Amino acid sequence: MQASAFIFEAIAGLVLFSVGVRVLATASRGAGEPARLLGRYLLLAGISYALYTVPLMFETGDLFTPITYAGRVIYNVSVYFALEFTRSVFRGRETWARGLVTALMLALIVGVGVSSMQGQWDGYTVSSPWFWCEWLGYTLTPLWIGIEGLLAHASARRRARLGLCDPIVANRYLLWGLFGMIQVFASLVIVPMYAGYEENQQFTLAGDAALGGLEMLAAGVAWLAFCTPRYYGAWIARRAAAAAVKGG
Amino acid sequence: MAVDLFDFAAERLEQHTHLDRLAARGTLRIALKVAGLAPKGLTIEQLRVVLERVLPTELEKCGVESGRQVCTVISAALAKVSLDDAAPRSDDADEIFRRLGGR
Repeated sequence: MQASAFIFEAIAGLVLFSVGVRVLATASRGAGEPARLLGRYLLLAGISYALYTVPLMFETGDLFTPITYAGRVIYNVSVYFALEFTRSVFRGRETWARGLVTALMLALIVGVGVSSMQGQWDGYTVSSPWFWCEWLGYTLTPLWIGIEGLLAHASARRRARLGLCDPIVANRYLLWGLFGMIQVFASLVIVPMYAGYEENQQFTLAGDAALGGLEMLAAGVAWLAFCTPRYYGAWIARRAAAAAVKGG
Repeated sequence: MAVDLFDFAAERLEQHTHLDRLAARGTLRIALKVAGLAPKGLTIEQLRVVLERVLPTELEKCGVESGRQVCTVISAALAKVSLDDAAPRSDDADEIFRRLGGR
Protein backbone atom coordinates (compact mmCIF):
# COMPACT_ATOMS: atom_id res chain seq x y z
CA MET A 1 0.00 0.00 0.00
CA GLN A 2 1.17 3.50 -0.77
CA ALA A 3 0.01 5.25 2.40
CA SER A 4 1.48 8.64 1.49
CA ALA A 5 -0.68 8.97 -1.62
CA PHE A 6 -3.84 8.22 0.34
CA ILE A 7 -3.16 11.21 2.58
CA PHE A 8 -4.32 13.44 -0.32
CA GLU A 9 -7.63 11.60 -0.46
CA ALA A 10 -8.01 11.83 3.31
CA ILE A 11 -7.38 15.60 3.20
CA ALA A 12 -9.91 15.93 0.36
CA GLY A 13 -12.45 14.05 2.52
CA LEU A 14 -11.80 16.37 5.45
CA VAL A 15 -12.26 19.45 3.25
CA LEU A 16 -15.49 18.11 1.73
CA PHE A 17 -16.78 17.23 5.20
CA SER A 18 -16.11 20.74 6.50
CA VAL A 19 -17.67 22.38 3.42
CA GLY A 20 -20.70 20.12 3.97
CA VAL A 21 -20.97 21.24 7.60
CA ARG A 22 -20.76 24.86 6.51
CA VAL A 23 -23.46 24.42 3.82
CA LEU A 24 -25.73 22.63 6.32
CA ALA A 25 -25.25 25.55 8.73
CA THR A 26 -26.27 27.89 5.89
CA ALA A 27 -29.35 25.70 5.33
CA SER A 28 -30.31 25.95 9.01
CA ARG A 29 -30.14 29.75 8.69
CA GLY A 30 -32.85 29.62 6.02
CA ALA A 31 -31.00 28.82 2.79
CA GLY A 32 -33.63 26.18 2.07
CA GLU A 33 -33.95 22.59 0.93
CA PRO A 34 -31.34 22.74 -1.88
CA ALA A 35 -28.70 23.79 0.67
CA ARG A 36 -29.71 20.85 2.88
CA LEU A 37 -29.36 18.45 -0.06
CA LEU A 38 -25.96 19.85 -1.06
CA GLY A 39 -24.72 19.88 2.52
CA ARG A 40 -25.69 16.24 3.02
CA TYR A 41 -23.97 15.26 -0.22
CA LEU A 42 -20.69 16.96 0.66
CA LEU A 43 -20.75 15.75 4.26
CA LEU A 44 -21.42 12.11 3.35
CA ALA A 45 -18.88 12.20 0.50
CA GLY A 46 -16.30 13.46 3.00
CA ILE A 47 -17.11 10.65 5.45
CA SER A 48 -16.91 8.14 2.61
CA TYR A 49 -13.45 9.33 1.54
CA ALA A 50 -12.26 8.95 5.13
CA LEU A 51 -13.68 5.44 5.35
CA TYR A 52 -11.98 4.47 2.09
CA THR A 53 -8.60 5.79 3.16
CA VAL A 54 -8.40 4.74 6.82
CA PRO A 55 -7.90 1.02 6.10
CA LEU A 56 -5.30 1.89 3.46
CA MET A 57 -3.30 4.13 5.79
CA PHE A 58 -3.55 2.06 8.97
CA GLU A 59 -3.50 -1.63 9.74
CA THR A 60 -7.17 -2.53 10.25
CA GLY A 61 -6.91 -6.33 9.89
CA ASP A 62 -10.31 -7.99 9.51
CA LEU A 63 -12.03 -4.61 9.48
CA PHE A 64 -10.56 -3.73 6.07
CA THR A 65 -13.50 -5.02 4.04
CA PRO A 66 -16.34 -3.80 6.35
CA ILE A 67 -14.83 -0.28 6.53
CA THR A 68 -14.30 -0.11 2.75
CA TYR A 69 -17.84 -1.40 2.18
CA ALA A 70 -19.26 1.23 4.53
CA GLY A 71 -17.37 3.88 2.55
CA ARG A 72 -18.79 2.52 -0.68
CA VAL A 73 -22.40 2.45 0.57
CA ILE A 74 -22.17 5.91 2.14
CA TYR A 75 -20.75 7.35 -1.07
CA ASN A 76 -23.64 5.94 -3.07
CA VAL A 77 -26.12 7.41 -0.57
CA SER A 78 -24.38 10.78 -0.97
CA VAL A 79 -24.87 10.54 -4.74
CA TYR A 80 -28.65 10.54 -4.18
CA PHE A 81 -28.40 13.97 -2.51
CA ALA A 82 -26.19 15.27 -5.34
CA LEU A 83 -28.75 14.10 -7.90
CA GLU A 84 -31.69 15.62 -6.02
CA PHE A 85 -29.79 18.89 -5.57
CA THR A 86 -29.02 19.10 -9.30
CA ARG A 87 -32.56 18.20 -10.28
CA SER A 88 -34.27 20.59 -7.88
CA VAL A 89 -32.02 23.57 -8.68
CA PHE A 90 -31.62 23.26 -12.44
CA ARG A 91 -34.44 21.01 -13.68
CA GLY A 92 -37.16 21.35 -11.06
CA ARG A 93 -40.01 21.28 -13.58
CA GLU A 94 -38.64 18.71 -16.00
CA THR A 95 -40.05 15.19 -15.98
CA TRP A 96 -36.97 13.72 -17.68
CA ALA A 97 -34.81 14.87 -14.76
CA ARG A 98 -36.87 12.79 -12.33
CA GLY A 99 -36.41 9.84 -14.69
CA LEU A 100 -32.66 10.40 -14.79
CA VAL A 101 -32.43 10.52 -10.97
CA THR A 102 -34.40 7.27 -10.75
CA ALA A 103 -32.32 5.56 -13.45
CA LEU A 104 -28.99 6.52 -11.88
CA MET A 105 -30.11 5.50 -8.40
CA LEU A 106 -31.31 2.18 -9.79
CA ALA A 107 -27.91 1.66 -11.43
CA LEU A 108 -26.21 2.27 -8.08
CA ILE A 109 -28.58 0.07 -6.07
CA VAL A 110 -28.45 -2.81 -8.56
CA GLY A 111 -24.65 -2.47 -8.99
CA VAL A 112 -23.92 -2.49 -5.27
CA GLY A 113 -26.67 -4.99 -4.43
CA VAL A 114 -25.81 -7.69 -6.96
CA SER A 115 -22.03 -7.35 -6.60
CA SER A 116 -22.42 -7.59 -2.81
CA MET A 117 -24.47 -10.76 -3.19
CA GLN A 118 -21.61 -12.14 -5.29
CA GLY A 119 -19.13 -11.31 -2.52
CA GLN A 120 -17.53 -8.32 -4.25
CA TRP A 121 -17.66 -6.14 -1.13
CA ASP A 122 -14.98 -3.62 -2.01
CA GLY A 123 -16.43 -2.64 -5.42
CA TYR A 124 -13.03 -2.91 -7.13
CA THR A 125 -13.96 -5.84 -9.44
CA VAL A 126 -13.67 -4.23 -12.86
CA SER A 127 -14.22 -7.58 -14.60
CA SER A 128 -17.77 -7.75 -13.21
CA PRO A 129 -20.65 -6.17 -15.17
CA TRP A 130 -22.12 -4.99 -11.84
CA PHE A 131 -19.05 -2.86 -11.25
CA TRP A 132 -19.89 -1.02 -14.48
CA CYS A 133 -23.51 -0.67 -13.47
CA GLU A 134 -22.43 1.09 -10.24
CA TRP A 135 -19.68 3.01 -12.05
CA LEU A 136 -22.21 4.48 -14.49
CA GLY A 137 -24.31 5.66 -11.54
CA TYR A 138 -21.48 7.48 -9.79
CA THR A 139 -19.86 8.78 -13.00
CA LEU A 140 -22.90 10.09 -14.87
CA THR A 141 -23.98 11.99 -11.73
CA PRO A 142 -20.95 14.34 -11.64
CA LEU A 143 -21.13 14.56 -15.44
CA TRP A 144 -24.67 15.93 -15.06
CA ILE A 145 -23.49 18.25 -12.28
CA GLY A 146 -20.68 19.48 -14.54
CA ILE A 147 -22.89 20.05 -17.57
CA GLU A 148 -25.58 21.92 -15.59
CA GLY A 149 -22.99 24.03 -13.76
CA LEU A 150 -21.16 25.01 -16.95
CA LEU A 151 -24.41 25.74 -18.84
CA ALA A 152 -25.66 27.86 -15.94
CA HIS A 153 -22.32 29.67 -15.88
CA ALA A 154 -22.52 30.49 -19.61
CA SER A 155 -25.92 32.20 -19.26
CA ALA A 156 -25.10 33.75 -15.86
CA ARG A 157 -22.03 35.44 -17.39
CA ARG A 158 -24.26 37.12 -19.94
CA ARG A 159 -26.70 38.21 -17.21
CA ALA A 160 -23.83 39.46 -15.07
CA ARG A 161 -22.65 41.74 -17.91
CA LEU A 162 -26.10 43.38 -17.84
CA GLY A 163 -26.12 43.61 -14.06
CA LEU A 164 -28.78 40.88 -13.77
CA CYS A 165 -26.63 38.37 -11.90
CA ASP A 166 -24.11 38.76 -9.11
CA PRO A 167 -20.65 37.94 -10.60
CA ILE A 168 -19.88 35.80 -7.56
CA VAL A 169 -22.97 33.68 -8.32
CA ALA A 170 -21.88 33.33 -11.96
CA ASN A 171 -18.46 32.22 -10.72
CA ARG A 172 -20.04 29.80 -8.25
CA TYR A 173 -21.80 28.06 -11.17
CA LEU A 174 -18.45 27.75 -12.92
CA LEU A 175 -16.79 26.26 -9.84
CA TRP A 176 -19.68 23.83 -9.36
CA GLY A 177 -19.40 22.76 -13.01
CA LEU A 178 -15.65 22.28 -12.64
CA PHE A 179 -16.21 20.29 -9.45
CA GLY A 180 -18.44 17.89 -11.42
CA MET A 181 -16.00 17.54 -14.31
CA ILE A 182 -13.04 16.88 -11.98
CA GLN A 183 -15.09 14.13 -10.32
CA VAL A 184 -15.71 12.61 -13.76
CA PHE A 185 -11.94 12.52 -14.38
CA ALA A 186 -11.51 10.88 -10.96
CA SER A 187 -14.03 8.22 -12.01
CA LEU A 188 -12.04 7.59 -15.18
CA VAL A 189 -8.77 7.33 -13.23
CA ILE A 190 -10.14 4.63 -10.93
CA VAL A 191 -10.82 2.23 -13.80
CA PRO A 192 -7.16 1.28 -14.55
CA MET A 193 -6.42 1.68 -10.85
CA TYR A 194 -9.08 -0.86 -9.82
CA ALA A 195 -8.11 -3.14 -12.71
CA GLY A 196 -4.55 -3.21 -11.34
CA TYR A 197 -5.88 -3.88 -7.84
CA GLU A 198 -7.98 -6.78 -9.10
CA GLU A 199 -4.83 -8.33 -10.54
CA ASN A 200 -2.23 -7.60 -7.83
CA GLN A 201 -4.31 -6.68 -4.74
CA GLN A 202 -2.36 -3.43 -4.69
CA PHE A 203 -2.92 0.10 -5.92
CA THR A 204 -0.14 1.75 -7.91
CA LEU A 205 1.49 4.91 -6.58
CA ALA A 206 0.71 6.75 -9.85
CA GLY A 207 -2.97 5.82 -9.63
CA ASP A 208 -3.17 6.83 -5.97
CA ALA A 209 -1.46 10.12 -6.63
CA ALA A 210 -3.65 10.94 -9.64
CA LEU A 211 -6.84 10.10 -7.74
CA GLY A 212 -5.71 11.93 -4.60
CA GLY A 213 -4.70 14.97 -6.66
CA LEU A 214 -8.02 15.11 -8.49
CA GLU A 215 -10.00 14.70 -5.27
CA MET A 216 -7.97 17.42 -3.56
CA LEU A 217 -8.60 19.68 -6.53
CA ALA A 218 -12.35 18.96 -6.47
CA ALA A 219 -12.51 19.58 -2.72
CA GLY A 220 -10.59 22.84 -3.12
CA VAL A 221 -12.99 23.99 -5.83
CA ALA A 222 -15.98 23.14 -3.59
CA TRP A 223 -14.39 25.10 -0.76
CA LEU A 224 -13.88 28.14 -3.05
CA ALA A 225 -17.49 27.89 -4.24
CA PHE A 226 -19.28 27.50 -0.91
CA CYS A 227 -16.83 28.89 1.68
CA THR A 228 -15.75 31.74 -0.60
CA PRO A 229 -12.91 33.64 1.09
CA ARG A 230 -13.25 37.45 1.08
CA TYR A 231 -10.17 38.00 -1.07
CA TYR A 232 -11.52 35.67 -3.75
CA GLY A 233 -14.96 37.35 -3.73
CA ALA A 234 -13.29 40.76 -3.97
CA TRP A 235 -11.13 39.57 -6.89
CA ILE A 236 -14.20 38.31 -8.79
CA ALA A 237 -16.01 41.62 -8.13
CA ARG A 238 -12.99 43.61 -9.35
CA ARG A 239 -12.73 41.52 -12.50
CA ALA A 240 -16.45 41.95 -13.22
CA ALA A 241 -16.21 45.71 -12.70
CA ALA A 242 -13.20 45.92 -15.03
CA ALA A 243 -15.04 43.88 -17.69
CA ALA A 244 -18.09 46.18 -17.38
CA VAL A 245 -15.90 49.26 -17.92
CA LYS A 246 -14.19 47.61 -20.90
CA GLY A 247 -17.54 46.56 -22.41
CA GLY A 248 -18.99 50.05 -21.96
CA MET B 1 -53.83 37.28 -12.35
CA ALA B 2 -50.13 37.20 -13.23
CA VAL B 3 -49.29 38.19 -16.80
CA ASP B 4 -46.76 36.19 -18.79
CA LEU B 5 -44.09 38.80 -19.42
CA PHE B 6 -42.78 37.13 -22.54
CA ASP B 7 -46.23 37.07 -24.16
CA PHE B 8 -46.85 40.64 -23.01
CA ALA B 9 -43.68 41.99 -24.63
CA ALA B 10 -44.02 39.87 -27.80
CA GLU B 11 -47.59 41.08 -28.38
CA ARG B 12 -46.52 44.74 -27.99
CA LEU B 13 -43.58 44.14 -30.32
CA GLU B 14 -45.93 42.73 -32.94
CA GLN B 15 -48.28 45.74 -32.56
CA HIS B 16 -45.58 48.41 -32.87
CA THR B 17 -43.39 46.95 -35.65
CA HIS B 18 -43.84 45.31 -39.05
CA LEU B 19 -42.84 41.95 -37.52
CA ASP B 20 -45.42 39.18 -37.60
CA ARG B 21 -46.17 37.07 -34.53
CA LEU B 22 -43.51 34.46 -35.29
CA ALA B 23 -40.79 37.02 -36.05
CA ALA B 24 -41.65 39.14 -33.00
CA ARG B 25 -41.49 36.17 -30.65
CA GLY B 26 -38.32 34.88 -32.32
CA THR B 27 -36.56 38.24 -32.05
CA LEU B 28 -37.54 38.58 -28.40
CA ARG B 29 -36.33 35.03 -27.75
CA ILE B 30 -32.95 35.85 -29.34
CA ALA B 31 -32.64 39.01 -27.23
CA LEU B 32 -33.35 37.00 -24.09
CA LYS B 33 -30.75 34.42 -25.09
CA VAL B 34 -28.16 37.16 -25.65
CA ALA B 35 -28.97 38.40 -22.13
CA GLY B 36 -28.65 34.88 -20.68
CA LEU B 37 -32.35 34.65 -19.85
CA ALA B 38 -35.21 32.27 -20.61
CA PRO B 39 -38.81 33.24 -21.46
CA LYS B 40 -40.10 31.21 -18.52
CA GLY B 41 -39.84 32.96 -15.17
CA LEU B 42 -38.82 36.32 -16.62
CA THR B 43 -39.03 39.17 -14.08
CA ILE B 44 -39.99 42.80 -14.74
CA GLU B 45 -36.50 44.03 -13.96
CA GLN B 46 -34.93 41.53 -16.36
CA LEU B 47 -37.36 42.42 -19.15
CA ARG B 48 -36.76 46.12 -18.59
CA VAL B 49 -32.99 45.66 -18.97
CA VAL B 50 -33.48 43.58 -22.13
CA LEU B 51 -35.76 46.27 -23.59
CA GLU B 52 -33.24 48.94 -22.77
CA ARG B 53 -29.93 47.30 -23.64
CA VAL B 54 -30.40 44.27 -25.87
CA LEU B 55 -33.62 44.32 -27.89
CA PRO B 56 -32.96 47.60 -29.78
CA THR B 57 -29.87 46.05 -31.40
CA GLU B 58 -31.74 42.86 -32.27
CA LEU B 59 -34.60 44.86 -33.81
CA GLU B 60 -32.11 46.83 -35.86
CA LYS B 61 -30.80 43.55 -37.26
CA CYS B 62 -34.38 42.73 -38.34
CA GLY B 63 -34.73 46.03 -40.18
CA VAL B 64 -36.83 47.80 -37.55
CA GLU B 65 -35.56 51.37 -37.72
CA SER B 66 -37.31 52.79 -34.66
CA GLY B 67 -36.29 49.89 -32.42
CA ARG B 68 -35.27 52.04 -29.49
CA GLN B 69 -38.55 54.00 -29.47
CA VAL B 70 -40.55 50.76 -29.73
CA CYS B 71 -38.69 49.41 -26.70
CA THR B 72 -39.37 52.63 -24.76
CA VAL B 73 -43.09 52.30 -25.55
CA ILE B 74 -43.13 48.66 -24.38
CA SER B 75 -41.21 49.62 -21.25
CA ALA B 76 -43.76 52.33 -20.48
CA ALA B 77 -46.61 49.88 -21.01
CA LEU B 78 -44.87 47.48 -18.66
CA ALA B 79 -45.06 50.01 -15.85
CA LYS B 80 -48.88 50.07 -16.06
CA VAL B 81 -49.36 46.34 -15.78
CA SER B 82 -49.86 44.76 -12.39
CA LEU B 83 -47.45 41.89 -12.09
CA ASP B 84 -46.71 39.88 -9.03
CA ASP B 85 -43.41 38.35 -10.04
CA ALA B 86 -41.10 41.35 -9.74
CA ALA B 87 -39.13 39.93 -6.83
CA PRO B 88 -36.62 37.10 -7.34
CA ARG B 89 -38.33 33.80 -6.65
CA SER B 90 -36.97 31.59 -3.89
CA ASP B 91 -36.68 28.64 -6.32
CA ASP B 92 -34.63 30.62 -8.82
CA ALA B 93 -31.21 28.98 -9.39
CA ASP B 94 -29.38 32.33 -9.05
CA GLU B 95 -31.07 32.97 -5.73
CA ILE B 96 -30.27 29.44 -4.48
CA PHE B 97 -26.61 29.77 -5.50
CA ARG B 98 -26.41 33.21 -3.91
CA ARG B 99 -27.69 31.81 -0.59
CA LEU B 100 -25.26 28.87 -0.79
CA GLY B 101 -22.46 31.37 -0.29
CA GLY B 102 -23.86 31.95 3.18
CA ARG B 103 -23.79 35.76 2.95
